[in-house]
Amino acid sequence: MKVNLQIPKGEQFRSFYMFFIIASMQLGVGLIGIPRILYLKAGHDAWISILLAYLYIALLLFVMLYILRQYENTDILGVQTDLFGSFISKVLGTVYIVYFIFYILSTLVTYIQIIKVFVLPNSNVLVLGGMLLIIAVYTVFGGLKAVIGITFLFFIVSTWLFLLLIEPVQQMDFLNFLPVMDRGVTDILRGTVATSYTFTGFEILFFIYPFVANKEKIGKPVFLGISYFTCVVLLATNIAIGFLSPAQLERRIWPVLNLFKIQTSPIIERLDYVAIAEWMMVAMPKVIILMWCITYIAKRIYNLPSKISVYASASIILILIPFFNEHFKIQHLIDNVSMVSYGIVYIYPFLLLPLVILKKKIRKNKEGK
Amino acid sequence: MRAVKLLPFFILIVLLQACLETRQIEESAIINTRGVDLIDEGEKRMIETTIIPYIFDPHAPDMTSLLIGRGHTIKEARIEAEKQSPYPLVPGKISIEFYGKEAAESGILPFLNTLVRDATVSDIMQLAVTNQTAKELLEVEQESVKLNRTEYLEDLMKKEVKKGTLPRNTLEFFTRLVQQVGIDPILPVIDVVNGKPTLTRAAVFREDRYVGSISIKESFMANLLRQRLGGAPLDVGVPLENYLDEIAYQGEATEMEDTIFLSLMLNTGKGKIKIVDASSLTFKADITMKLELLETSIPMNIKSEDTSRRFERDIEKYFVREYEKLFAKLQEVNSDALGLGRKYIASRKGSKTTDKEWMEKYQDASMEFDIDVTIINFGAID
Amino acid sequence: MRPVKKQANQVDFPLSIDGLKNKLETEILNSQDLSFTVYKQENKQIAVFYIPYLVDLAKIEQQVLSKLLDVQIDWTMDSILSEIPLSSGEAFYDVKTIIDKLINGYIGLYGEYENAIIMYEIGKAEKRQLEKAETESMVIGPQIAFTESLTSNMNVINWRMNTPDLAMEKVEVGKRNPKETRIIYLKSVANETDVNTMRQRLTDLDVDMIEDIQMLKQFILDSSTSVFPQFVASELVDRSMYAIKQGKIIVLVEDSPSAFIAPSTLFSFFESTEDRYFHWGLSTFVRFLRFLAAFVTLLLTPMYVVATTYHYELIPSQLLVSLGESRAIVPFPPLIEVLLIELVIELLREAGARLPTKVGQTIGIVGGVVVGTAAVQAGITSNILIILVTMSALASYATPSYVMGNTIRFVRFPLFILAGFYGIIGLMFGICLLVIHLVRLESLGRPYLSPLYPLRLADFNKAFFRLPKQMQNERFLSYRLKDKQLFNKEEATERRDIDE
Repeated sequence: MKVNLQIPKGEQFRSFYMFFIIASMQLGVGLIGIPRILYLKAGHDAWISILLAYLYIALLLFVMLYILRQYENTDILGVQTDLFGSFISKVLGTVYIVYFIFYILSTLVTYIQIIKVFVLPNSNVLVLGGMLLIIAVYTVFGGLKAVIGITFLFFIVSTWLFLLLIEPVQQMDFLNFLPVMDRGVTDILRGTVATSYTFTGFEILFFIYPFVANKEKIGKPVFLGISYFTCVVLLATNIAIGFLSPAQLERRIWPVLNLFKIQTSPIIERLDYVAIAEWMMVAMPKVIILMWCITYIAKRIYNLPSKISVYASASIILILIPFFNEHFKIQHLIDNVSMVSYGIVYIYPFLLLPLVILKKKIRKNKEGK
Repeated sequence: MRAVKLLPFFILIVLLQACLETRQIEESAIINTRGVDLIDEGEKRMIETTIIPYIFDPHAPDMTSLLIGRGHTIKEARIEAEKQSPYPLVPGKISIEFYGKEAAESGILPFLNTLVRDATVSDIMQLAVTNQTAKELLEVEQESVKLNRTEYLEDLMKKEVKKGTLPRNTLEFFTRLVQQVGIDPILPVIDVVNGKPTLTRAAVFREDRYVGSISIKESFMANLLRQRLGGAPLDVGVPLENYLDEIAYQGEATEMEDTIFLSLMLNTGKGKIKIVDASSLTFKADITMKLELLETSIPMNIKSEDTSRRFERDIEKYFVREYEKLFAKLQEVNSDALGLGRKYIASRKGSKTTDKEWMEKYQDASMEFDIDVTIINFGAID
Repeated sequence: MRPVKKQANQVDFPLSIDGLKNKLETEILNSQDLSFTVYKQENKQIAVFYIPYLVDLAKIEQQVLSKLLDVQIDWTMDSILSEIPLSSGEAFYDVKTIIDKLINGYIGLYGEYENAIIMYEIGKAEKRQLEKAETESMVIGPQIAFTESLTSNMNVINWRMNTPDLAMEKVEVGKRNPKETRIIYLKSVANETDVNTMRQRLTDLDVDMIEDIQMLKQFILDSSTSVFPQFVASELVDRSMYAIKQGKIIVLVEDSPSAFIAPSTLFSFFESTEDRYFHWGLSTFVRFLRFLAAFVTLLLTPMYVVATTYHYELIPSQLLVSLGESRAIVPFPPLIEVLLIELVIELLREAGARLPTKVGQTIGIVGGVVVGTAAVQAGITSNILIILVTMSALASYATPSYVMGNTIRFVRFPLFILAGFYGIIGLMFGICLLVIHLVRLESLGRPYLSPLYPLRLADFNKAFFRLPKQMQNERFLSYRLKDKQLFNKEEATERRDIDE
C-alpha cells in the first residue's frame, strides 16, 4: 500500500465543498434527538456543553490536519502504513470499514423508526431500508463527483427546514433558561460527552483529504463546517428548551420534530410530514459519503472493485436492518456505535500525533546524516 | 446499464409494498370533534366519548354524525364508538376536544396522553371545557348550528385567541403549561346558552384539574401578564361624579346612574411580573396599556388634556381593583394562572423547586399592580 | 477558361453516342427518367443528357441549348467550355462519376468520340424560403427559422454574425449517404476541449445515414439511458446566434431545419431568447414562473395521490370536506384515478399534435371540456383532480422547450407510482433519485446542473435570473471559455460629461 497518493485532476474537487461535506456528515438523524439527550444530562445549560464539544472538535480537527500535512498527499491509511506497516494498517482499515457499516446502519434504522412512528406506521423496514440504500448505491456509482454533488445539493435544498422553526421561536419562553449555570460542571461535561454520536462525521477528513485540489485553503471550510453544525445544534437545542417545558422535553424522543409540528401552511396543513420526508435529504448525504468511504478503503487495502464493495456493504446493511426493529435495540446500537466513536474518532488522532511527530524527527535525522 | 441493474430492487419494492395499508380519505371516518365525559355506570367510573367524524357518503344529507362509546380507557371508548361507523375512526384531524365538567375536574392529563403519543394528531388542535357534559354540548351543536358546523366551534374560540382575550388553547400549549412548574393553564368554557353553544367563561386549572372559572375579561387580564396583546375590546366603568362638567347631553335614563361605562379598544398592552422580594414572596406587576376610546355610555365632550388624564387615572384604578380581585380569586382556588412561580423559580439558583413546594408558598404570596394607561385617541370627535 | 485535364485512372472514352446511351442506361437505376437528346451539326453529333426533375429546365434552355445551337461554334470541348456562360463546367472521364453527378442535378454534354464529358451544375433544389418558426414561438424578437438547406442556413448565420472569427467546420456524417454537417462556434471564445469533443464524436460516428438533426443528437448523447434531453435543439436562428455569442457550439446538418446547441444545461431549457429582449425584472419574473411551473407539474398530482391515499392530515381542514365528498363517489383508488386522467390528458396532447391544426384544436376543446365534465359527473374522477391535472398540464407547457416539457411530464409517472406505493416517503425517494440522476448527467462532458453544481454564483445571472444589462458583461463562466468578457463594465457604466 502506497503512502502517498496520486489523484488525477478529474477526481479532485475544490476545498469549498469541504464545508458541505463536513456539515452534512454531522447533520443527520442524531440532530433530531440531541436536545433531549443534552437536556437530560445538562439541563437548560446544554448550550455550554455544546460549545465545549465544539472547542474539543476544533482542536481535534487541528490535530488531524496537522497529521495529514506532514505528508505529501495521503489519507489516514497512508499515515498508518507509514507508522505501523502494511499489515496493521490493513487491520485498522478494516476496523474503519466495520465502524462505518454500523454507523450507516444506526443512521438508517433511526430514520426508518422515525418514519414508522410519524408517517407510515405499517411500512416494511426492508422496503424502506432498500429505498434508502438504492439512493446511496446509485450515487456512489456516480463516483466522488456525484457524491459531493448530492451532498451539496441536498444540503442546499433542505435548508428551507429552518423556516419551520419560526413559529416555535416566537413562542419560546425565555424563563426556561433561568437561572443560568444552574447545573454543576460535571453535568455540563456529561452533556458534552453525550453529544459525541451527533457530532461525529468530521473523521471523513482523514479519507477525503487527498482529493482536495487546493489543500492550502482547506482549513477555513472545514472549521466553518463544524461551526455551522454547532450553530444548528445550538439553535435546535435552545429552541426546544425554550419551547417545550422540562417535563415534555424529558419525555419526547425526537424534540425537533415536535418543534415542526406547530407550523402550518395554507396549502399543506401538516408540515411536519413534509419535514420528515425532507429529512431524507438531511440524513442521506452522511450514508452516501460513508458508503463511498467504505468502497474507497476496500479498494485501497484489498484492491476490491468498487462495484463489489458497494453491493456487498449495501447487502450486509440491508440484511442487518430488520434485526434492529425495536426502540431499545436501536438505542443499544447507537450507544455502541458512539462508544466505538469515542475511541476511533475522538481519541485516536491524539494518539497518532506523537507518533507522527516522532517519525518526522527520525526521518529528518536520517536525512541530516 | 446501471439503472438496469437496479431494476431488481425496484421490483422488490413493488412486490413488498402490498404490506402497506392505505388510509384513503373517503374510506376513513375522520374525527373532527371529540367530547370526553366521566360517567358512573353502576359502581364503576367509565369514560364516555362523543365523537363527531366526517363520513363521506355522497348520498347522505349530513356529512357528520354523532358516535358515542364507553370504556375504561379513552382508546377503548373509541373502539366502542367505531362499531357504529362504517369506516375506521382516524384521529389525524381532530380540531377540538371537549371535556365535561366531571372529566375536567378529575384531571385531563390521562386523556391527553393518547393525543400526545399519537404522532398523527395535530399539536395545534384546541381544547375546551364545558360545564355540562360534552355529550350534551355536542348534541346541541349538531342540532342547533345551521352554519358550517364543523368549523363553527373552532372559529368561535380562535377568534377570541386572536384578540387576546383568551390565551392559546392548543394541545401543545396546554401540555406545556400543565407540565411546567409554576404556571397553570387556562382554557375556554363553552356552554349551551339559549340553545346555542356559547363561549361563556374561562376555566382555571390547578395542574390538569379544572378548579374554577373566571370571566373572559379576567382571562384577558391574566393573558396580558403573559404576552404583548393588541386588538381586544374592553369595558370599563368610571365614577360619574368626576366628569359632571363634560357631559354633553343628559338624558333621563342616565340621571340615576353613578358610573360612566367606557368602551375601549386595546391598542397595545403588555405586562410583566417582577419579584420584589423572594423571601417574603412579594411580587409586582407592571402593566402598560394604550387604549382607544370607542364609546361612552353618556355622551361627553372631552375638551381638555386634563379630562383625558382623569379618565386614564380612573381606568387605572379600575384595573388595579379588578386585578386584585382576580389574584384573590386565583389564590383561593390555588391556581397560579398568572405564572408567579415561573419568576420565583427562575430566581432560585441551584435548587429544584417542585410543584408541591411552590403551591405551599403560593398561598402566602402577595402581589401589587402598577398600571399605566394612556388613551391615544378618541375616535373622530373629542 | 479551364484547361481540360486528363485523368490517369480508368478512362471510358471515347465512345459513340449510342455506346454512351447504352452505358448510361445500364448503369443508372432509374434509366427511364433520363432525358437523352442528340443534336447534329454537320457531321458531328452532340448528346445532351440530364434527369429532368433534378435540373432547372428553363436554365438549360437559356444558358446551354441556345448557346449550343445558335452560335456557330465548333463542337469541341474547349470551345464549348469557353462559350457557355456557366462557371461550373468541368470535364469528367469515367461513367461512375458522371452518374454520380447526374443524380445530383448536373447536365452532361458529350460530343461524339470526345475524350470526356462536360458537365454543368444546373441543379434545382425544392427548398422553402426562410420562414417564421413553427414549433417554437416568440412574441417579440427575430422569428426566422432555419430551413432544410444548409447553404441558406449558413448564409443566415453569416449574415447575422459577420466576423472572421466564426468557425464553420465541415464534417461528413454517415457511411452510405454522407451528410454535410457543420460545427459552428466562435474560434476565439469557445472552449477548445468542447469543440474537440464534438468533432471527435461526430467523426467517430459509425452510422449508416442520418435523416435529421434530432437523430444525430440521439447518436452523440452523453447518456442514452436518460430521458432528459442533453442538447437544446432549436429551429430559431436567434437562439443559435445567442448560443454562439455565449461561446457555445452549434451543429447544423444538411436537410435539417434545426440546430442543436452544446453543451447545454438543465436550466438552458427553461431559457427563451426572448428573455433578453425584456426588461431584466420582467424576464427574471418570467424565468421564476417557468421554474415554478416545472415544480407544479412535477409535484402537484403526486401530492394529491399522497394526501388522498395515505396522509389525509396534510389536507387543510377547509379543503378536506370538499375533497372527501368528491372522492367518495369515485370507485378507484387515487393512484388509478390519477393515472387514468393523466393518460387521458397525454392522449389529448398526442392526438392534438398528430392531427391537422384545425381538427386538433377541436379535439382539444371537445376532449378537455366534454370528457372532463362528463367524467366528473359520471363519478369516474373527482373534480378537484381535474383542476389539478389541468393545472399541471398547463404548467408543463410553460417550459420553452417542448422536449423538456414532455420529459417533465414523463418523469411524473414513476413519481405517481412511488407516491401511490409508499406515500410521501416514496415520493421523496423518487425526487432523490431524480436529483441524483441529474447530478450524474453530463452534456458534452460538462455537468448538466451547472452552474448549480459545480457552484458558480456569477453564472446564476444567466441561468436563474437576469440582472441589468451592464452587469451581464461576462459569458457563462462554467464552460471555461477562452474569452470570458463580453464588454468592460467600467467603460460601459462610466459617467460622461453633459457636453459630450
